[in-house]
Amino acid sequence: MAPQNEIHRPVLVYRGGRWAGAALLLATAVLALYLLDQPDEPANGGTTLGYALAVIGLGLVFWLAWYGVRRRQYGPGRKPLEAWLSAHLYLGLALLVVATLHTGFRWHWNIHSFAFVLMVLVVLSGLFGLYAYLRYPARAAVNLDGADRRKLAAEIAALDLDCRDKALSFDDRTLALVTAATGQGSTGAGWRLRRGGAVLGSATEAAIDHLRGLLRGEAALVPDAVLPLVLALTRRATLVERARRDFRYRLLLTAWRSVHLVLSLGLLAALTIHVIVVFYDR
Amino acid sequence: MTILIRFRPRRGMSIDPKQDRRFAGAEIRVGRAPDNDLVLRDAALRFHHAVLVQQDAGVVVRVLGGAAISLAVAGDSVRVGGYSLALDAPAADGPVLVFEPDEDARDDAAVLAARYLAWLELPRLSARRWALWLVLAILAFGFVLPLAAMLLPAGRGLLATAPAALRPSILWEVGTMSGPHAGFGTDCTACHETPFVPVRSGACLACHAGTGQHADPHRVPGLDLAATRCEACHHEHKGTAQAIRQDQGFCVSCHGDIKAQLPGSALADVTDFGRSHPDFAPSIVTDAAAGTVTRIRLGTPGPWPDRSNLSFTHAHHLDPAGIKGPDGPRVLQCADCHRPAAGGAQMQPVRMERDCLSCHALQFEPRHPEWRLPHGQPQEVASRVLGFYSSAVLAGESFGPNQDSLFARPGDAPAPAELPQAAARGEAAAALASSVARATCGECHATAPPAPGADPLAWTVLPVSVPDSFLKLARFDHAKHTSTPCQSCHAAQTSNGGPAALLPGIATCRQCHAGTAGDAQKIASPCVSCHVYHRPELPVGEAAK
Repeated sequence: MAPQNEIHRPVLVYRGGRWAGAALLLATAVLALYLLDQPDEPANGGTTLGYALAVIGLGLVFWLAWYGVRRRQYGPGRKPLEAWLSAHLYLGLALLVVATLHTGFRWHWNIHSFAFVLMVLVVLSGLFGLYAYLRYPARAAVNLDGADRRKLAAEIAALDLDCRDKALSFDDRTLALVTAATGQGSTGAGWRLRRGGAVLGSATEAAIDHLRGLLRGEAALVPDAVLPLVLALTRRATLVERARRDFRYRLLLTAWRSVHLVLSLGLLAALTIHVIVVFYDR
Repeated sequence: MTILIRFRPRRGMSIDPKQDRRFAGAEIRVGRAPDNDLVLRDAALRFHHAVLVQQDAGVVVRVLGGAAISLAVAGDSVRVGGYSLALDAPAADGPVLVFEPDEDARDDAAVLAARYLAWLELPRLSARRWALWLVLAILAFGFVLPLAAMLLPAGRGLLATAPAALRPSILWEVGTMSGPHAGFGTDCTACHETPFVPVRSGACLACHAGTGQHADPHRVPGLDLAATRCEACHHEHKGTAQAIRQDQGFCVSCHGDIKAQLPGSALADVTDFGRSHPDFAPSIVTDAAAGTVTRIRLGTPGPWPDRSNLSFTHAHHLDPAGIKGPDGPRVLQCADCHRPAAGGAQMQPVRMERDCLSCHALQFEPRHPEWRLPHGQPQEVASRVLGFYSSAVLAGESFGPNQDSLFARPGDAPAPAELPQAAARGEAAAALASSVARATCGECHATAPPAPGADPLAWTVLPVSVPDSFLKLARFDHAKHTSTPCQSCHAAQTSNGGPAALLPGIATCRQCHAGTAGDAQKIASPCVSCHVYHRPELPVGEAAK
């Protein structure tokens, strides 16, 4: 088992970036071979080097896919998952080079190029995952500012009731605007909160604008509660935006992996067809 | 006038529900606004919502901006805002109206918070199901459908009508078809007859029937193409011009040291046109009658045997000062005699009647230029010469030194040799020997005199043989070289030799062409630029796999 102090070392520079070095070496080597190679026909996946790159690429794909299995296995006596992830990441990038050179930059409207496109999308989704892991946890922490989802929800709910109660002192139009802005009636439309649609969007703005108009003295009779109501609505809007952003960070932190997984399995299927079709007659 | 208002309890009410309230006055205003008689802080009510007016033992409820409803008998009720207003049994001082709030539809903080929290939960993304669908879709459209469309008879009909993007030839094609095959390339089974079985050479030979061996399989058994698959060399789906091998290494693997590979070969070792290629060896006619030729390497010291039985010099004909023609001196151009054959790769044979006859009119008697000999019919030459002299003798015309015999002294019986017909034969034989066979015909043709004792008129024109091509092992395309003047390759203006002397040597070609290893300033020319691999004279036959 790896020493304790290595378990949390950043994946990017695991053991001095050994996997980064290995991947760079692999990519440079195949690129050099590709540039030096002078096949009898235009470069493509069927030349000697093309076959060699195919073997390397196919090996990489299956090894990279095996990470999906390996990451679910726990227990002593295994290489730390960080090592696997670091290798997965860098060799995945190297695969982009190997597979691109395997194609010889020849793409058509066919299952072979489709497999290549899927491979690129898988790598890109993985890269996005890396970006998400590097950026979003810190941003999410700053966004929540010490709170958590439960606290946010409770505070927004309390502000809802507070705003509606304050709005009872106001005329019918103001009450309707505040009621709409505090999300009443959006039951069951969870996506509204996520997108900030009815809850955060124009309804809140309309209510605040209206109340500001009251503050400027556009109406004769203005209850004293107008300033506290504006403040409460603004505070609520801030919290909803914060909750919405938190939702987005968490969604992106997990959804990319689903995309990565779906596309990876699609890639394995397309790659299988690619190999069968290429060997259709030999 | 008094109305007693009684509230049924409800959670969260801001007015004590247990307290009955009495209102006295003409009308009782109900709403959220502070200036109402009955102020109810309830979102279901408008700012000024309704007015209640007593009417006998009942109450009229007038909703502002709406209808007026009369509650006259105990039990009558009406809905106003979030309330049900019901008339109760009247009290001593007036009617009793019961305000009963609807079931509380409003949210409380805990319920709202729980709802928001639920909204903030991430959706459950069923990645596995999506992956399953994607994999199934890819397998269906990328594999099963094309395979079925190709193999099932019904599918092949479908194939022709399917959208182009869904045809297996599109979905599966591993690369662009070579140009000549692209025409039937949408039908995969034209070549791929059986799935996962390599393309048979027979499928190729169905069209390419005349394909030849590269070497005589009896002499080089290892190179018997009947035992090889076409696909071993010819890779399809590699682009529009790639089905023919261009790589020189393939040729050089044997021809680089052909002497060692094939002991006794007359061929020279070649590795690259620019660097190691022997000079050309044109096929020179050594026996025109038998049609035999000998390859003689350019640069071999002369004289060369050239027995085409024609004599011709380009230098004389291309004299820049002009050559004597029927209408005076004329400067000849190459194209006056040489015309490209169909396709332009080669030249048409020079034809005497078309290209030479305007100058070489085949006259044989200066005093009678109107008499001409037929070309190409040597057997008629003698009879025409004899015919001319016979008529001339009969007309009393004399020509040569033996004219005295035509004018014998009177009284002398003419000797047998001096009979007119004998005289004509003598004139004809003399003309043939002195001028016709040696000059008129012999200017260009090799001629042979009659054998001793034979008919003195029996001169023969020796058979002519000019090969169609002097470089039989290579192909040269004149059409591809039209941007270059003839004389930059063919030194015709100074050539006094036969046709073979006009062939440019390899040095001339190398001014523009290098091999593949070569010079970036020159045209890279692999072996197949000039040589063909499959020799048509050695057909592979039907034995091919």
